[in-house]
Amino acid sequence: MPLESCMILLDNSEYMRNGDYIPTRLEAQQDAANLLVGAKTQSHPESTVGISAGTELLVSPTEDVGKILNALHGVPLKSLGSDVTASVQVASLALKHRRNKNGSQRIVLFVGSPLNGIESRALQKAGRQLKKNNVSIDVVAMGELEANETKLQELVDAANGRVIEGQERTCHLVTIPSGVLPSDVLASSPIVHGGAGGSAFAASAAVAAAQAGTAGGGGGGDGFADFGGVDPNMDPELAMALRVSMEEERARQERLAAQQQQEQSSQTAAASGNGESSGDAEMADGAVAAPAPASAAMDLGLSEEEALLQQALAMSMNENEPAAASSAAPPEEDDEAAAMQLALQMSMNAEASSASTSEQVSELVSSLPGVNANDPAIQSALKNLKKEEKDGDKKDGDKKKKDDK
Amino acid sequence: MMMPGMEAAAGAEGGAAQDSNKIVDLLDFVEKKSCYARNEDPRFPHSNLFIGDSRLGCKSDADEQLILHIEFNQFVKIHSLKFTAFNQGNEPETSPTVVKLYINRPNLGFEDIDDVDETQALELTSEDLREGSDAMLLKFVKFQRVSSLTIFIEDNNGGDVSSLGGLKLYGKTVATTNMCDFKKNKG
Repeated sequence: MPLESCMILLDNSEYMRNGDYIPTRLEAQQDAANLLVGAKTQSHPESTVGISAGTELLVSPTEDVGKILNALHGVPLKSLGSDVTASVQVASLALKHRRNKNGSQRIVLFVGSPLNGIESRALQKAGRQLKKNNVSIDVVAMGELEANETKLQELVDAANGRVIEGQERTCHLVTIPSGVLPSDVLASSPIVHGGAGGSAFAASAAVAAAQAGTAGGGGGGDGFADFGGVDPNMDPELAMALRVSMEEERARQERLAAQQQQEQSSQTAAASGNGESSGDAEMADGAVAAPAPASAAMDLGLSEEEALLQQALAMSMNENEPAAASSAAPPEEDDEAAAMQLALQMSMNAEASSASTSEQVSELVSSLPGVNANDPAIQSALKNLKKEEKDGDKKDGDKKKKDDK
Repeated sequence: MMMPGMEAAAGAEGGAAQDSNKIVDLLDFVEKKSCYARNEDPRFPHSNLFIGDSRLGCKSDADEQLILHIEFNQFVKIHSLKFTAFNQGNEPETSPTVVKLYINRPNLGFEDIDDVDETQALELTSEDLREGSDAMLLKFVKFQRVSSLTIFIEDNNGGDVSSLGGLKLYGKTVATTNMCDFKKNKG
């Protein structure tokens, strides 16, 4: 719960003598107010709480719990019925002149007497006034008074204002059935834990624990992502088990990805190999075109594309050699060490073969009919061949990415 | 009554004094902790006003009225005010039209706004709210010793709520007389 100034409005009319709560309404109300004071002051060190009974202000908002409790215990019964609108106005005046202007303002109103003389219009007006002054109101209805229920609901609705979809309500109405301790009901109500959850108030430890559990289970707790969304402090064994299983799954996925990469590269090699066998000048085209779909499928970075291209070229150049041919076959096992060795071997092959690429191409060019291999234009074209291949590949890759977008 | 020598000294230091005590942005002197707003939308708090981006503004919540209270950490003189429309004026119906200014009134609320006379009332036009237009000049003599400024947005262009994109205050501090600038009065 964030910083808050809170006024607790007690009902001290004669109706509070009623014994429907144990021991009396008045003392049950006192007990509930006690709990509230504890919850509010402990949730934030600068939160202040004030007490008023009827229209009489007993303590203006203060951090001093002793003062508050002292006032709580000396609440005398008055013969007059309580005027809810007047007492709400007194409380909002006390909140208006609070010392610490930071933080929100809240009124917690206890009602245990029938609201006979009060029109619902007056209550709605009071609610709107609260809303305008950014004061939230929580109402605790005691004694099953049916006429009260609708009127208080109107007050709370007016104070809530327009409810926007997905937004948390700030004002609440809690009705306490007779025979139940009001403090028990309040401890699990949004009035005590702020509605937004995340309270660590010790007195309602069980409530807090349940909340933490649901927050984690809902996947909201990012801090526990390693433990599968379970707070490790709550259930260490379960958290460890989840963590181990998540790590295993991650390792399995990594192995799978490595394997797929190997298969892709071997496919690329096969494609460029076809290009070489089918035609002479088309070879370069085949080598350029083949990696592009592969890279698009795997969504690799540019540098990885280049490495892949080099691997493919190297393998297509060395296809005649038996060692390279066997290495081009997809690995049987998902053995990481073997994959590593394979990758090393291929990268070494790529280095070794880069020199031979241009030689082979020049041979092919010279063997073509009607082409002079010594022509300076062809010579320069051959020199730039490798560079062009790379550039072409880059452009192709960029285009692919744009298309993907 | 001023002596001739003193007048001359004042004239000589006029340029320097203006330099050291010229109109500045008063944001540095705002005591942000003591500022508050009434009837503000919690999703658009008043602290957004000083960020400088009109998409981050302050909106009213229940109706079109809004009270902004700005506290200064020392006495200041306020020379001019610049309101900016919310979200570059894309919601013209929420722009404030009638604004009242009160100085040195701590704890001013909606219920007692009618009981006190405003220091100055302003009528805002869309031109005044445009980003980049000139700041609105105030009756400078009435804002000579300001420790807090309360801005009451009374009415708007007809929207359900009012909104502001930014607020800038220009003026100078009161207690910044630099004693080094004083020259000895000869004669």
